[in-house]
Amino acid sequence: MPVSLPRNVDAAVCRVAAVAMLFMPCQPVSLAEERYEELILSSIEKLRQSRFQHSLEQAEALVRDYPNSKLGYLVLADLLAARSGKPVEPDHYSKHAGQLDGLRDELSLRWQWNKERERRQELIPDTLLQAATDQEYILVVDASKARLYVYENTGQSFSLADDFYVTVGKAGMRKQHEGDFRTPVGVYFVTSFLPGQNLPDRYGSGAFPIDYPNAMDRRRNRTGYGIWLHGTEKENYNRTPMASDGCITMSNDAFRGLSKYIDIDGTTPVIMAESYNWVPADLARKQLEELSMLLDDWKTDWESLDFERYIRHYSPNLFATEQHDLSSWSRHKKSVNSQKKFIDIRIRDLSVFSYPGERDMVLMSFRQDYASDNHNNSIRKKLFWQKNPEGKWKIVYEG
Amino acid sequence: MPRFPGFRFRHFLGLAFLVVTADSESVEAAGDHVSHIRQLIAEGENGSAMEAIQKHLPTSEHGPELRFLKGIAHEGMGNRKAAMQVYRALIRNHPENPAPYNNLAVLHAHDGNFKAAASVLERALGTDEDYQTIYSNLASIYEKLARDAYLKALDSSEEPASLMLTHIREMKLKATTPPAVPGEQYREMREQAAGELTLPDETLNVPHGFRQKNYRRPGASHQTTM
Repeated sequence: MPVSLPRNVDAAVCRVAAVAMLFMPCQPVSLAEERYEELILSSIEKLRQSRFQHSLEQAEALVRDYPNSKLGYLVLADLLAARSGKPVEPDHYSKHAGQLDGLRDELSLRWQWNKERERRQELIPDTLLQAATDQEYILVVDASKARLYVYENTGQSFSLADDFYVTVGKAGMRKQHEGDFRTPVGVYFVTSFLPGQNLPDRYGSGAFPIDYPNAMDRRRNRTGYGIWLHGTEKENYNRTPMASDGCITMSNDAFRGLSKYIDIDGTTPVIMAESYNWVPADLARKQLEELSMLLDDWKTDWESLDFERYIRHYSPNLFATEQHDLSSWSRHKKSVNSQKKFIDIRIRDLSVFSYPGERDMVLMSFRQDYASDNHNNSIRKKLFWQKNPEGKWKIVYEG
Repeated sequence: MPRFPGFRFRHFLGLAFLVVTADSESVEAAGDHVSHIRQLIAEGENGSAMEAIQKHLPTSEHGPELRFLKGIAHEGMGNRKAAMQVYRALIRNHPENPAPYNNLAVLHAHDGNFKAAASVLERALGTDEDYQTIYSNLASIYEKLARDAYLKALDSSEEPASLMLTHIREMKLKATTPPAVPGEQYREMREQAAGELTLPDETLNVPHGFRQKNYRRPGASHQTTM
């Protein structure tokens, strides 16, 4: 599908355009999804309080207001079965065991997250170290909780602004091959917006494609394409926790809610992993200090035109780009440097994310303003750093 | 979805009022000593009630009712074991009456013996085939609704569940002796109960509480498929 909006349009304009294309009714966007989850959970809560009739009424309201909610019907069915006092198990249970298990998993994951949401306000996923100033929101997909968190970049730290129930691939996470029904693990960026009316029904309200496969995926020989965040087909309110071909899917209500946090000019990060360590924000700040010094050293050493100082930041055996290994990279850099009297590097819009799915890896992404006596440019750069066995951070990819 | 009247909590309250009212109204018919004993129990004078019961039991024509009150007085004094013995004996002698089963079940549940409580309540339902039929029909309807909801949860194209309900073919008339003069002191309570239930006032004259039944046993019932 073609990108629906030009990439260089100002971020705010893009967002307004995307939002305008999505919303017809003028109401708080994620309200319907929130109410949906509230009805499900309060039906269970009331059952726990032995208020059976109230519980039943909530389940009835759920299927009345969300008639495509399979989970709503399951909760209602379980309540009615309990009320009947008879063993009402679907005759064809085994045929549908997967679907039933999926729905029960969804219920249990929604319930668990609701119980721990409060506690998670104090902690952040350990992937979040620093966001760039133009990254207002960072999306974090946590497959273990079937949840997408929206973190607001507060400058100093991150605060949980919103969260949505989401579905990942049928075969789980860690995509490797095209058609393996897995969802990638890594740090990605939203590249565009595709409105639902131009897409088949299964994408629902629309889609936000992301840039899988990225540099690290290519390095790991990962194949496949077309990993999107998208809505849900008409006959379902949302899907069970593992039910996509590899995309992140959510209810159309959630999709509309999510879209207000997304810039489609490539700045909104989507971090995806099986799970995260949850850490206090000051621990992240401490780690960030160390990494900032590292980047500063790299920049200074590059500017020094002293090749040995510069090249020590690169991993001898792991460094590789699309065109180079370390020896060809060294030759190239040596020849460039020999023609320079000075190099002046400016780094801005720096984001630092601990890279999920890789051991001790960090992705630094920034805008690099390069000035020298014979050449100037400004590019977006990605540096992947990894700790070597001696515990020293080394660059394993630059591009 | 249809509402299910009769399962709302305030209706339970209403029924509780109904029982109290009807019990009290049967006092006139039951004789002065029974009425006196009820009064004592209501006032928490369980010891005095027990003495009066022991005194009247050998000669009273309301023996079963007095024994039932003995059970309640025992409960009032905290003698749950003794109360259970009374109810068990009543069940042996009057197996057709549901009230002692019910109170025995409450005591079992109080002791944490929920299985025993449930089994005694099942036996209580068995005392009246009409109630059994009604409960079974109600359960069948919930069962059908549950099955249909499962089909929707599973996106199944299968036919909606069938529903088998049972007709009652014979209306049994309970021998009731409406009180000649309804107890004036209970009017307010009765009106309140009627308000809760939104039922016609005469419904409240159906006797509840322990009494010997003398209606005919139910005839053959018959099943209808819907």
